Amino acid sequence: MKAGKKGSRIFTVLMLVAFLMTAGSGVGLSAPSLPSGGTLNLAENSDIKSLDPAQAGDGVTQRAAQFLFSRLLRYTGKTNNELAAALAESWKWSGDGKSVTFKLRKNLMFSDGSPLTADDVAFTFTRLLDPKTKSPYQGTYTVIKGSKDFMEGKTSTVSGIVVVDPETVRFDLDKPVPYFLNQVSLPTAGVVSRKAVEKSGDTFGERPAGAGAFMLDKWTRGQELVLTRNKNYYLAGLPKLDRVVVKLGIADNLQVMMFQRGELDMVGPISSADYLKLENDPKLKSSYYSHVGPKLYYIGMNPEMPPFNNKLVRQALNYGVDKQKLLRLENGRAEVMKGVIPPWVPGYNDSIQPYPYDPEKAKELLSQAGYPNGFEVDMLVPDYRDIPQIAASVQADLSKIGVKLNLRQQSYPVFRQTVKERGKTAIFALQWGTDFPDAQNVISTLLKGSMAGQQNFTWYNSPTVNNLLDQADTTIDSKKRIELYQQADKMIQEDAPWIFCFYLKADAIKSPQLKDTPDSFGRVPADITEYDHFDAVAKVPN
Amino acid sequence: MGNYILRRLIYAVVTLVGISFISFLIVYAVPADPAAVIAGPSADAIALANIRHQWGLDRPFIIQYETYFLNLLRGDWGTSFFNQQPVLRQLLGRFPATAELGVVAFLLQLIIGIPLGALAAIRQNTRTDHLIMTGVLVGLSLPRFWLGVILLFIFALKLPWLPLGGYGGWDHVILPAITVGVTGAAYYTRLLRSSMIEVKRQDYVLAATAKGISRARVQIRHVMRNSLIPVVTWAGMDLAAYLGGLIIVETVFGWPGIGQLTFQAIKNMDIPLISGTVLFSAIFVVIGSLFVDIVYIFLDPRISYE
Amino acid sequence: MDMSQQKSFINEAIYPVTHETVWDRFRKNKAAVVGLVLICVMMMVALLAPLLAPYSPYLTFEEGISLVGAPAPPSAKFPLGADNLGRDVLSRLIYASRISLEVGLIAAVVSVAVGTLLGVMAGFWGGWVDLVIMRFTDAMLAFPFLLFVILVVSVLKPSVTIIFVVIGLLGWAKAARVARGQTLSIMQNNFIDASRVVGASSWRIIFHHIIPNIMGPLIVLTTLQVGNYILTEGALSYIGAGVPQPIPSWGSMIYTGQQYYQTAPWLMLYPGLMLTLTVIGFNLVGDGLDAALNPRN
Repeated sequence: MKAGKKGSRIFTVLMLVAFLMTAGSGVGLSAPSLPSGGTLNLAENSDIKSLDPAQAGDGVTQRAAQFLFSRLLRYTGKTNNELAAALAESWKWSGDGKSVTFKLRKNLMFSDGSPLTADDVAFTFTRLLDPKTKSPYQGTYTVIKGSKDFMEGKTSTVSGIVVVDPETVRFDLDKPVPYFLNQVSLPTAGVVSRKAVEKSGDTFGERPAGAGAFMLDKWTRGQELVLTRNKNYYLAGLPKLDRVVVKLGIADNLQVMMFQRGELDMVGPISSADYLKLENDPKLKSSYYSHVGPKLYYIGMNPEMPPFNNKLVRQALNYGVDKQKLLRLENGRAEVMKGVIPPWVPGYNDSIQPYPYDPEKAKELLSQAGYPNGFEVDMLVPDYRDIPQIAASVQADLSKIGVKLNLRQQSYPVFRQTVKERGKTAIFALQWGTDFPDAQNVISTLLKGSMAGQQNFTWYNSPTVNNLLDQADTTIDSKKRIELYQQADKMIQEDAPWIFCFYLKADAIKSPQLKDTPDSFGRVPADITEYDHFDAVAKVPN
Repeated sequence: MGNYILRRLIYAVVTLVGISFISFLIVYAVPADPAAVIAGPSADAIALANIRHQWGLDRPFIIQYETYFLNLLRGDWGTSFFNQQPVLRQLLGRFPATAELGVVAFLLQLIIGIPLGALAAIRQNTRTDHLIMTGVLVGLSLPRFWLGVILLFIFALKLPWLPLGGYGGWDHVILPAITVGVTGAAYYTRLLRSSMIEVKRQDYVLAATAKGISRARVQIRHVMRNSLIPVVTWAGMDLAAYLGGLIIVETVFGWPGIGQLTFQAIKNMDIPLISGTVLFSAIFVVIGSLFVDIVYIFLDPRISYE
Repeated sequence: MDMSQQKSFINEAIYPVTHETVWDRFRKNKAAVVGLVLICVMMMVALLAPLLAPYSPYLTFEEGISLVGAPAPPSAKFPLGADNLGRDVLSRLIYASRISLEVGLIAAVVSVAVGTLLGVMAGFWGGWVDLVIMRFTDAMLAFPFLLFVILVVSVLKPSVTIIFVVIGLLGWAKAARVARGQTLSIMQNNFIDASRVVGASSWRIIFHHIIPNIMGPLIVLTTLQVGNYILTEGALSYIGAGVPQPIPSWGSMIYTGQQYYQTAPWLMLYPGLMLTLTVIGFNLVGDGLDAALNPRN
């Protein structure tokens, strides 16, 4: 007994030492005890648009881009909110916050072995701004100085992107952009090889050359994407996996069934219908997990179009929707929305009170607004995941207060087209997944007047709110920023351009064969920003 | 006879031209700005101008059609604005999957439908006949999408014998082929049965006055040959329709064929792709009916070539 | 002389002439009667929907879904269970019959009417009228029907009316072929020439002599087309190109229901069953009419 105790104490000490040694070194550590090898089997419900990250406008394409390309920085930490070194080993801001310099790691290579230098980085961002590329994210990077002149063809390069030396690149911005690092870490900003792009031209989307954890083996459009390990990956010992196979065009419910049969290693997010299966299937249940973020669901109302030009009507509709019921439709995996800024983003205003479900009050407000008998209006609904279900529930609730919604369902691309036109859509249902954990990506992107037609489809344009948001977007002092955002959020709640629905948890079912290493922090790579972590995921044989 | 074939050929070509015209109307006449429709939502002014020039949209209507038609012949069927891939390339790329499903389903229908139809006709009005015809009734009335989903759940989920849709080896095509085959076979069974009964009745009368069994034997062969005529007609058009893509079944099973592509195209209002699919599909039907007409000649020399 | 007697001319030489009416023969056909009963039941259900359905098909209930969103299983309150939004399945099934029957019946009548007119014209006048119409018909038959319907309905604003109008206007080709064939057949008869000699106008001949005498096969076709179009409407709703939410349709109920196959299978099974039974009914009646009009012993 005594010897055993001593032995176990030594063991504990050793483990502690090992843990201390590994803790604090962040990304870049491999766990030697977990095996290398194996194939990760995933599926998507539609086809990838292109393997060129500059074209990564939709989720499926972005996830593919994350396997194939690395960016300057990546996300890490328990809540995946912290930025850490990726291709860039360090960065430094100028005092006024209008310029940031990145120092790249030494001896970076693309998957084909050619060197990755600051020139490739500069080329990547210039290309994103280039009108010829037609990148859906072009607008994001116009904060870089000289981008306007470049886009108009007045200059052949962007003056704000400066290659200081082969390992150093500097970005000069028009104004302080506190969230610029987040923008530089978007999947679309995967660093591409200048040589490869110039060689392949238009076919780069089929012959990608990047520095991601994996490289392309074969892409059969509409059927399958096969990737293999990139031996030149910048993190030693990673990726653990040999191959990644993504089956394309598989419906969501079929994906869950395939998971049950062991043909897929991870499926997410889980639809509410599939979630119900978990309750009855203990094996499924044990493979399920979720965490907060990144989606929020809302009904947007256009204050330029009657009857939504009357604030009372917008508020009435908020009182008229039973949000608890919506939570039930999401199997309880959601939280009633308070402010626009969700809990996982700094700037979240916990003090905001959501509108309670009060049909009587709703009817009262409608009468006050001049619609005692309600009204009828077309609501645009994209055919995307569970949005139609949410819309149907809202429709049912509002019909009880006399508001008749005619649901017009469209496929997602067509919906985005329709909703972009001013004055065409009075009310619509939509969800938003945060691209990065900064309030600018939520409240400013969705509700600032200047973003109307881009992601602000309500055409909400409040001068006071715009002012607050403009300030917050360009203030470097993070404390001050948060204050401003919270203020704006509170005003928006009162002004009610949305029916504020809920925040949805991200979830997935994961095969027990997939083991997280310390680098992947146990995150379910269920949403776009987390697919990077697959480089540190290992698959143990059965 | 050569004259007849020639005439049928010319007629088929004329029909194809007519179909291309209707297809042209879909792209050009229906929407407000055909250039925007062809170029897609994300097009800018430069792209639109290019399209206008390429397709001659600033010219008179008939010149537009001419440009469209010549483009078709050259293989330029436009570009899908959803994924910027050439339409014809996509259609041809997906054709093997559709052809596989179409041919397997077609053969399945024949294997199931024809023997059952013959059996029902021979044992007319017996228990066997009634049983078969009940099967036919159910087969004709079952919604394909319902049957497909049920088969999927039973044979791919509850009993994990078969794959859950998608493309792959021979086991992937079984369930979708059965879904189509079971409902389609019903037509053949009914058709052959009623055709054989009709022919038999006429021959029965003669046979009643015939002497000797050998004559009856010849008549049975004669019966089969004549009964198959309507079946062949139907079969030609049937297979042709399948080669154009089965929208519902391909969607239910995630089968990467032309039908699934068509469905996605319609959801995305991808007009160039839609009109390309319609044209592609129609071409097969025209070829199919031409083929049937020619085969007819050999099957039934009594046909008059008016 | 009506068609059935003409056709059984050969038979009459050998078998005694029977003096039954079409209805008599139909009545004796057990399968046909079953079909008729099925159709009548479905029609009654559709017509009396407000009386038969326990609730409105649009009403969502708190008790309809559990706290985690599971549809309520069959119970006293929901005889066939509730759907994913907490609505009563039985009520939705009953009201959905209205959509299917409305679309099926009207589309069938419209398509056969249009087709008959064109087919008779082609058969009657022959010559280039025949040529043009039949070439047009052949072109129409070449187009994939479902695709066409989906496309047109998607471009327009989908509603029940649009759907049956579109189906009806795109589906006339079959009827045109049948009508033409029948017309040519009946034109062999002397009494047509006789009427012409007497000086009857073409349209009079068409409407008074031709059409009434080819009604038989056309009625059969109409009945069978109802069944087909009910399936078409089901397919449209299944893929989301049919009647818009929240109007209940068997097709869309199957689509939403299939996701819950393991946890709430009733959502998918009942609408499919209703569709199949209804179509079986129309097919039985159609076949029965066919047999009754063309007796073969």
